[in-house]
Order: sequence, then structure tokens, then C-alpha cells
Amino acid sequence: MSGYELQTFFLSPLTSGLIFALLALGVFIAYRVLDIADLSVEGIFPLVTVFSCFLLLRGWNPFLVVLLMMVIGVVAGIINACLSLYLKIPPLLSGIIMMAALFAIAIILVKLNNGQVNLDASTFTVFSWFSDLLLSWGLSKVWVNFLSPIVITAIFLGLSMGGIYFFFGTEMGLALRASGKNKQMAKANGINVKLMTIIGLAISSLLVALSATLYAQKNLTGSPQDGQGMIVLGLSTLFLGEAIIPHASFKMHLWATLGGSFVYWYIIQILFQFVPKSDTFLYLYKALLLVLVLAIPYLLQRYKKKRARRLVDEKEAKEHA
Amino acid sequence: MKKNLIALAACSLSCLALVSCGGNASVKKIGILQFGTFEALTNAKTGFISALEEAGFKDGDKIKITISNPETDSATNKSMADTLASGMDLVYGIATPSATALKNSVDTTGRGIPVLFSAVTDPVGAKLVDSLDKPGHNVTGMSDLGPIKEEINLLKLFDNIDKVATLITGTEANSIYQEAIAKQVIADNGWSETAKTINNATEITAAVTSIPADVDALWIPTDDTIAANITAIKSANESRSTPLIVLGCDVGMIKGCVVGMGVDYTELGRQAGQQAVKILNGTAPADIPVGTGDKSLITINKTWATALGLSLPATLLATSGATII
Repeated sequence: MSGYELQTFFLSPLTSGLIFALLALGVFIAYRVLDIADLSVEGIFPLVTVFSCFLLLRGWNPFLVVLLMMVIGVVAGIINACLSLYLKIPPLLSGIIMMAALFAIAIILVKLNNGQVNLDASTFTVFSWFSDLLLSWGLSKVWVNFLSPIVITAIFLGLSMGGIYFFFGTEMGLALRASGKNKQMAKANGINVKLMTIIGLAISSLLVALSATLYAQKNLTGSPQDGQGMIVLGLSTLFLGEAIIPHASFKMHLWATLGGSFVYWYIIQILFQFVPKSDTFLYLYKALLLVLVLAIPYLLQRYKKKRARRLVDEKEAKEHA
Repeated sequence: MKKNLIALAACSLSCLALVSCGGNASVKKIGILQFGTFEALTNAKTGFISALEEAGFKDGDKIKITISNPETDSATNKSMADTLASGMDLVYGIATPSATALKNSVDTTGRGIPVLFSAVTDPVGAKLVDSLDKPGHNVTGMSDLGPIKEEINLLKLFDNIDKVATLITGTEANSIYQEAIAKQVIADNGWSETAKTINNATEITAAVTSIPADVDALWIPTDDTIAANITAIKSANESRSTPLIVLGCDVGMIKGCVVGMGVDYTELGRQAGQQAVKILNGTAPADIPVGTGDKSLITINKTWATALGLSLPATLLATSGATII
């Protein structure tokens, strides 16, 4: 492997892992904390990638774009929650409705721009801002190109994880977690469950939007197709993290989600860099590897239990003898 | 838990060891990124490989070809582009998302390796090249923009045309770009346009059957989703009380069209392959103009038109160079 290949092998999945960890955290809050399978992710993601590029093409400040996209995420989350809470549309369906509506807006934006919203390398994004800063410190271009996405995304991810950890430790955050765990009990304790659902979905969608705008600004392109498979990606990341990292506490659950994201993207990277015929069988390999990674912890646990039982049996047998 | 991680690390290390053996500097590594498994894109791939073979660059001999296919998943597309950009000596992106991802990944590594593309309708709008004649950087390739104007003008040969429908997939940048051109051509002819946009293949039948009965013709761009489901158009058109004269911008779509004109993706791939040969022989990509393929190909599906009860004008059947099936 050449130096470039090694660099890509380690750094490309790291960047993807960081960006999609934000998405996974969003899915985590909706699915694990609130117990809602929120499908609007597949609409928010493409809308934000397209809208980000749309605005950046028109010379908007990238940080303002990030902020605006977070607001869009929050608004989408609130509408989604209200659809299910006040119009009694089942949450799964309200997610699908949001997905369709936001997807349509993404298509309208793309059409306004003659089919595509591609940026070129000279477009001012949060990443190019940081790259320029690093270059002015005298770092080599190759490293800057790889380091800047990692550092910038890590900062956003760090702030988000810190924010989530802090918020879910406050009285309101605890109330939110309680309403996800047991609605009746939460209601009985005087918690406004509806408000909590709205806040929870808003935070979840905010994280998804943040992930999407960083994704678009890094890859310099946005497309209505970007949402495809995002909910599956978020859920498999979440489950992968839970399977391999113990997550008894809320804090560990956050770390597990982050870890799951890294493991997922390194698996993908190993698959298409080293496995032959990966163009045809990639998704089959992916399925097999996921089964393997998810099953190993369970099988190990079972083996340990069996061994412990056998040891007890042997001990008892000895005592009898 | 710890054991798992160690096992995973061991696994990846052994993979690394396997691959790092056996590198040969004189063998050029060529990476192909094909956005999805669509007939047109697969043809663009096989055409590329066969053109290289004809010029003496056989896979496994003088060159080593790696093919990646993200199956239209954008995140995977980007990761594959990163991997190819770092390890290959020349990369070839099929369809706009793959081509732009490769270009951006190559820019990131700073290696400046040549990037070829095909099945990209608007290379300038996609920010791949500065202009079609002078690409300017390390990127060049083949545009698949069909002869939209000539094709729609074929309708003039028919009697009493006044309404034309268009059908595109809203998620495909190429299709939106072509629809804008078609809209202009239709307006120039003094016809009115009924525009239909679908988001995925399941909506094709509904879109075609919902075209009003007084519409005479349906125009389709080089659109991957529709091309892959052209038989759905065929059966939807059969069920209409007034059949549509279906025009396809892609010769490969002919089984569901009355007239197919323009792009042959195998040929497009071959010409991209010839560009690759030039680059391998030392020409800089910046000096190779973007090709557009032979746009004059016309295929007329007379059998299908007759089955639909459409009578084709003799002037159309007499078009020079037309293949009639």
C-alpha cells in the first residue's frame, strides 16, 4: 500500500464515521430515547444537503448555513411531532409524510438550479475555511485536506455530544427520557409528555440536519438522492455500537453510538478495499459481516455462561465425591 | 469485548498483509466507479474496458482494473471514490454523482491523477470541466447529452401534433437539465408541454396513464431510472385509449419507444476508453476535449408502432441511416 492509500484507509472512514455519528445520535434520540421510529430522516437529509449547496453557491457564509440548517431541522422535527400528536397520525406515517414533503422541496430547489447543485473546490465552506487557516500555519496540503474535515466534524460532534449529555442530565432531559420509557408513568408524575416528544424530535432532527450540512459541505455536492438508505445506516450504526460496546449508562450509550459509527465505516472500507468482487457482492458481504459482528458478543456471552455452569457442576461433583 | 476488537484488528491486519504483497510499478491501475446497476451504465463500463483491450491494454497484463459500484447510495459512493482516488493511476466515473465524487476525492488527495467520465449530461454544470473544448484540469470524458432538438423535431413529420408530454425522474440531475432544453424546443415548435416528474420507478405507470388523452407524444431523456423500467412505459402506453408516440433519447430504450435517437452507451464507453488510451500514452487530460458521441443514430421500432395502431409517416421511415426494427 502506498502512503496515499494508507492515509485514505485510515482517515476516510474516520471522517465518514464522525459525520454519520451525528446522524446516528439523531436516530438514537428518536428511536432509543423517545421510542419513535422516525423516518423523516430520509427527507431532512437530502433537503439539507441540497439547500446547503444551494445557499453556498449564492455566496452565503458557511457558518450561517450550518446554523440555518439546524433551524430547519428543528422546525421539521416540530412539524413531524405535531402531525402525530395533534392530528393523531401514527408516528411512522407522519415520518413518511415529512419525508415525502421535504424530498419534494429538495427537488424544487434542484430544479431551480438547472438540475444540480455542485460546488467547486474554491467554494467557501466550513472545511475550506479551516484548511486555509491550517495552510497559513504552514502545514502540507495533503494533510490539511484530510485533517480539516476530521477536526471540524469532531468539534461539531463534540459540542453536540456534550450538549446532549448536559441536556439529558437536566430536569427537563430526565423528564424527556422518562416519557420515552413509560408514557403513563411520566404523565402520572405531571410530565408534559407531548411537549417532551416535540422537544425530543426537534433535537433528533437538528442532529440529522447538522450531519447533512457537514456531509454536503465536505463532499461539495447535494442531491435529492442523498437520503436513500440513511435510516438504515443510522439504525445499523446504532445497533452495531450497542452490540459491541457495553452501554448501561446514558453516557456510555452515546459513546457506543459513536463507536458503532466508526466500526461500521471501517468494515465498509475493509470490504471494498480488500475483498475481491466487492462491486457485485458488496451488500451481501455487508450483511454477512453485520451478522458476524452482532452475533459474536451474544455467542461469547453464551459460551461464558455455559463454562461458568460447567465449572459449578464440576465443583459440585467434586464435593460429592 | 476486548477479544472481539483484537480479532477484528487481526482480521484487518491479515487483509492488509495479503494485499500489500505483489505490487508492480509498470502495471497501471485503473479504477472504475459505476454509480448503479443500470443497463446504460453497465454498457458504458463494458465499452470502456473493451476499447482499452483493443488498444493492447488488457486487464491483468498491462493494466489492473478495479470496479466499484455503490448501487446509487451516495455515502458509499463517496467512500469508494476516496479509496479509488488514493490507490489508482487513472479513474473513470460513470454517471454524474460518481464522476463528481471522484474529482473531489482526487482533489483532496492532491495526487492529480487523470479522471475520466461518461454518462454525464452537463459536465460544465457539474463543475467537472471548465469548458467542453478545453477541460483545463485533470478531468475529461464523454457527455451523453442527446440530440434533443433534432429528436423532438422528428414529430414535425407526423400530422396534427399539438401537445407533447415529458417524463423525467426528479432525483436525476441529468434529466432535469435535459427537460429544460426539451421544454424550450417544444415551445419553439408552438406545442404545449405536459411535464411529469416521478421520484422512483413505482410511479411510472401512474405518470404515463395520467397523461391526458389529447396528448400526442411522450418524450423521455437519457434517464437511468426510466431506462431501467422502460417496459413499464410500454405496458402503460398499451393500456391507454390513445397511444403516445414515445421518443427516447437513448437507443437502448427502443423496446418501449417508437423512436430512439442519440446516445449508444456502449459506444460512449468505448470512446471514453480511447481517451484513456491517449492518457496512458502520455497526453494530458486537459488537452483532450470532452466528447459527445455520435448523435445521429436513429432506431425506429415499427413493429411496436404497428401493434399500438400508430401509423408512421413515410418521411420518418425514409430517414437516412435509420435502423428499422
